[in-house]
Amino acid sequence: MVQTKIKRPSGLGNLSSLLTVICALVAEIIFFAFINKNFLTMRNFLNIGLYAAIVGCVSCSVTFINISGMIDISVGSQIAVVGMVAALAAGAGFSWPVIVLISLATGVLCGAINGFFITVLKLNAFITTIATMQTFRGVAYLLSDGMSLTIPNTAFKFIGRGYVLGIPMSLLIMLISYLMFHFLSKYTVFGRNIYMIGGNPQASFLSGIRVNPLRFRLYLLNGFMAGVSGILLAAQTGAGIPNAAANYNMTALSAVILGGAALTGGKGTILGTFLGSMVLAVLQNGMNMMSVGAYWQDIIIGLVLILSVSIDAVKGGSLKRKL
Amino acid sequence: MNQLNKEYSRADHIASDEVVMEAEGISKSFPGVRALSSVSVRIRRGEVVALLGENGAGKSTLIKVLSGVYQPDEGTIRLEGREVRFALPMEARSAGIGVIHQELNYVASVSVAENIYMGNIPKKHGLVDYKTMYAGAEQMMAQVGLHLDPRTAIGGCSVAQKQLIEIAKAVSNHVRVLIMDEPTSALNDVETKNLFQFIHKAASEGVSIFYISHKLDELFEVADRVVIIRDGCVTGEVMIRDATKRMLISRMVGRDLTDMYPKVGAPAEETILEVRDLKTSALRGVSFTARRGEIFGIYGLMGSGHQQIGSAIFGQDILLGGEILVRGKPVKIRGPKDAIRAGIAYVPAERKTEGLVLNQSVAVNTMSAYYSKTHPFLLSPSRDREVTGRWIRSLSTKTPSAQTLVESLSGGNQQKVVLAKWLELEPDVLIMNEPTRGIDVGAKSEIYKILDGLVGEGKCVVLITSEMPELLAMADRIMVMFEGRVSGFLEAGEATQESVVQYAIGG
Repeated sequence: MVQTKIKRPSGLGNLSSLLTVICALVAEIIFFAFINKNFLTMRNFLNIGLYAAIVGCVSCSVTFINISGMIDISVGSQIAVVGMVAALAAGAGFSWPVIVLISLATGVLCGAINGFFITVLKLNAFITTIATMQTFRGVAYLLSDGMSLTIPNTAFKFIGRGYVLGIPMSLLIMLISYLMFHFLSKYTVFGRNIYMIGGNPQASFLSGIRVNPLRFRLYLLNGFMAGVSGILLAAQTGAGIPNAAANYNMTALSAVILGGAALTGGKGTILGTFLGSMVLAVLQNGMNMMSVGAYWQDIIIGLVLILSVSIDAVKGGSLKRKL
Repeated sequence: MNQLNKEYSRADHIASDEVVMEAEGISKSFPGVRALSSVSVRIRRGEVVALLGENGAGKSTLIKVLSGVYQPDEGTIRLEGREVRFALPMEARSAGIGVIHQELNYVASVSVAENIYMGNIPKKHGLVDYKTMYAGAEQMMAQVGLHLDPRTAIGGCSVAQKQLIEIAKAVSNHVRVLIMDEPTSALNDVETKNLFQFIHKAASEGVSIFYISHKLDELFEVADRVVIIRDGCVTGEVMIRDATKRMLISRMVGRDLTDMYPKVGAPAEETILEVRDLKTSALRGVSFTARRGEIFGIYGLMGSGHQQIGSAIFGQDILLGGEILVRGKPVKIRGPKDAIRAGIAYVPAERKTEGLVLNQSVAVNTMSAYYSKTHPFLLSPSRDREVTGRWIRSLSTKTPSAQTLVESLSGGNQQKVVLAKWLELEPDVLIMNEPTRGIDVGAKSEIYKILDGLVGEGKCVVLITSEMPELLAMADRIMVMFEGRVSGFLEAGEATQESVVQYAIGG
């Protein structure tokens, strides 16, 4: 018998698979610290956290979607719809808990729509969310006839702008989200089953995992987190803006990919996504401080993403394979 | 669809004395298996030679050697007297050897003509010359009596039509030797008859045909000569006019069982599993009962539906009718989870695609069914360690640790992980579909020992297998399937290879 190379699990927690993203983060921080003396301050780091929070929250559930072997590129549009609904509810004079509940319910509804087509009609997830990405965006415009709506409710805006014990509320919500998702992924049967169905849905099904109901729940959860992100967006900007969050699906996916998840499923960690989203947020913040133009920022973010994926691919032996 | 003016029969075959192709002393080994040992076959011009053998006898390997897919370890192949070496299937094709595989190769969404000309599309000024392509395709199909619009997508054609298209492709290549691997397995009676007409016609025009099939009746109609292969050796060669069914069967199966089957057995007790009139897309009403303390064997040839019984009971396939009773009570099984709750476990045939999540660890795979059955909210790392460690020891699974990914284990050890996953649930009924496929001999014997131990504990094992020796050595009772139906039941005492095969071919 041939003794094959022993591989350690890469899905369920292994720091070496996060090496690239950790190096990238450290390199960025050192670089920007040398360039600008205001970078390495508590105030700036809280700022980074504040702005990273919106897309950071939904990145948690996008990670789960990707680990399960599925995809959702409609999260940006979901966040926009939630933001509009929150603004409408605030305009109608509801109190902040009611606004929050209505917004979350809207997110869950969006997730349920995606989940229905993907798990009941069994459409391809990519195709489904290409369609709903556009539909949800249209709904966001339709809700206000394309206008931005200002939010008068100061209690609601506190969620996005307020500080608790000197820490931005948004940042706290994001950190709590990451902790909860980390816990789910590592310590619960639910989390393990996500890895299983991503690795081999057929074998998981034959082990008694109800694969499609689980996928449906993941889309509901993703809608819920899009709701959280949408609330943070509306509360931070103090308005419902129908064309907001346009790139958030790509930002979330980039964070997930930087964190080491494979779009084919079965691989990825919440910690990795957290680090990945921090790499992107620090990069953006640092470039803003250096007054790098918006066009160059896009180019650099794209290059960082492709560079990090290339490093992982070469480390994984892609040059030694024919196909 | 296959309109031929003249009715051809075997008498029309040229079957001259001129040897077209000759393979001598062909041996081929794969890690752990000697698939062919010193096999010699020859075929004359205009002759139809049937290759007959059980599943895994070596027929497919022989075809692959003849058509350049594999290179033989030893032996020579001569085509019209000259020695040839095919490094690639393409070389064999251009030398005039055509193969019609059991699974047809085509791109479903493109036209018939493009499939025929794939890799060799006619061009004019660097652009596709549709006119020539369609005209050529039509002409080629006409040769095999097929009149189809070459512009239609091949995906919409029937299996018989696709097969004729493949044949047309081979024929257009000035084929001298045509190899057909179980061509009738997906055809109905009329289509089969048309195919035979084509074979007779081709043989009358000097094409030599190797014909592989399990169905003995067909051979008597279509073949001139039968070559019987068993365990990688040629065990007989007869002219069909001298052959009888009985004789072919005995040559096909005659083999000794070694002591790799450590069967002790156990007294059979009460009925634990009862299946009534089970219907799926592959099963046309199957009923049987299996008891505690017995290994209930299910046998059939490829395509008989025997492999679908496990997936039907376990809730993997959509049931069209029938009832499943466990411990005398009807159970409603909507999916594997319900089957697990009812005390049924299922080891699927495809270990890598159905049995295991390869990029997860031994521990994760071992625990998967346990967590599905008990569905607690939290994982229990201490239980993971304890259970996985216990099964690694008791099945002597060779793995560096419980955290090793199962993809790096050998086939036999992977199968032990699948077994551990189910044994931890202490199921009353363990259904195993081809449990020893692709496993080396030592691991096979260990798995048989485990099965024997299970029935000793009063469990019921349903053993679905295509391997005759395994079936006869391990099963207490045998159910044989043919074309989606039960064709016979046999007790271990009365079952012989001949009687099982007799039922398996429908008689």
